[in-house]
Amino acid sequence: MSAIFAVFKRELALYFRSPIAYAVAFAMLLFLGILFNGNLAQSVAFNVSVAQQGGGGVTASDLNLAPALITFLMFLIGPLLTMRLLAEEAREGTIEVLMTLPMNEAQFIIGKFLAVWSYYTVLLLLTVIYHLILTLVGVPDAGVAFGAYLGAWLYGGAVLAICMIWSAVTEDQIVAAFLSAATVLVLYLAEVAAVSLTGSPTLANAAGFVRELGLQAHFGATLANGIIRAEDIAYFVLMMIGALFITTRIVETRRWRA
Amino acid sequence: MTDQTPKMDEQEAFIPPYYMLILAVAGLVVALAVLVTQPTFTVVGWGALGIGALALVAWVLMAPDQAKAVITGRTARFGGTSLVVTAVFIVALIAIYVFIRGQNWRADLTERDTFSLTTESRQAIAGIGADPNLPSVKLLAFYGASQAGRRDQDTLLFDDYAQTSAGKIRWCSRSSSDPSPISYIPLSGTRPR
Repeated sequence: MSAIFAVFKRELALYFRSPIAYAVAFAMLLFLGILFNGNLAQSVAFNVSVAQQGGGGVTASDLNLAPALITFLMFLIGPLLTMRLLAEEAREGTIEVLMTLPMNEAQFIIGKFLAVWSYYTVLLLLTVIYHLILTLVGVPDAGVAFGAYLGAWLYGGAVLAICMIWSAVTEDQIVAAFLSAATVLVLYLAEVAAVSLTGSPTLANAAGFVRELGLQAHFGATLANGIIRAEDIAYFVLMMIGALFITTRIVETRRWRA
Repeated sequence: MTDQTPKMDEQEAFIPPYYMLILAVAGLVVALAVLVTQPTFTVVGWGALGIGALALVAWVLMAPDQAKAVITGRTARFGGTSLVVTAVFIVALIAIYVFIRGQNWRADLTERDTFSLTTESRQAIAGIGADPNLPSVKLLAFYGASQAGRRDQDTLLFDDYAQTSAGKIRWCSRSSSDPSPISYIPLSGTRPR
């Protein structure tokens, strides 16, 4: 446990010293801020007209705007945050030195993963400010917000774990980032692919499988709207465990690879 | 004078052996895709499987040393074990997911209970469930190809109906493009004549 904590502390400190991490945070918050502002202005204008007819309030789409946008942006955020993690260690040869320390590969990988997930959690928590702003213009549904944030947090963890696989596969950070982005985008668009497959008479059977494999099917309609399903939580948690296990096996190959 | 003609085994093969290996993997992947996505193992699947197997045999014949190294080498010993362990682990994770999915644990966190029954509806449906004179009801929900998310949301509400009525109200979802005629499904205890 202390080995995991040592790696975690070292990596987390590196994130707060790294210009890329700050650039990612800046770009993400700027993008979210602009979109949130536009969406809020629209929503307020709509609510004023509805209030004149006796309705009003903050809608679910306002509440899950920030988490939903973050999950969409994960195909960029994930690769940028993880591309350095293992690829740089391999390129600079420091991974061999780390492997001589009294810790196994799993502890090393888990420590690194917890560090990047913690950094992502900090980014996610910064967007809670949007929820606080919403409380000033209406009465937001705390259940929906909680579900959406929980979903975005787990979604981010799964994406970061998947991206770590590519960082372990290649020593080139750019290649790792591209492969990670492609993988996350494919998983993000699996739901769209499933819709196309449903229309095809020969591939209709695969539609359910493809949808279930994708990330959005476990977030967009359920967690983002305040519906907690055990299968969605299990999907993200098992995805993290599976991806970290594969990453560990890949790093382990260094011990016996010719 | 030296003989300039290269020996047969030193000549570069017209088709490199690893091309055969790539072909074998591609064939097996296509066969697997057919197995997973099609209702029956079609001629495409058999064809891909055949091509994959033949390509594998061709690779063994073209590069016997490589094949032997793959089976008996250091990489095979450690890599093979690692691959098997990873495959078993992933299958175990899938099994856990399928088990959890089967349990159907859900919760509606919305403050306005958007995806569950209101207290009044719950009382009315409990009354239907308790009345032995009322026939059972089967709800049919139709969803288009792009409405899978909506179906996930409605499942919570429909399950609530079924649970509150003590099983008197049942439900099922169907694709709106499903060609099978609707009259085959018993509705509210009535059957087509």
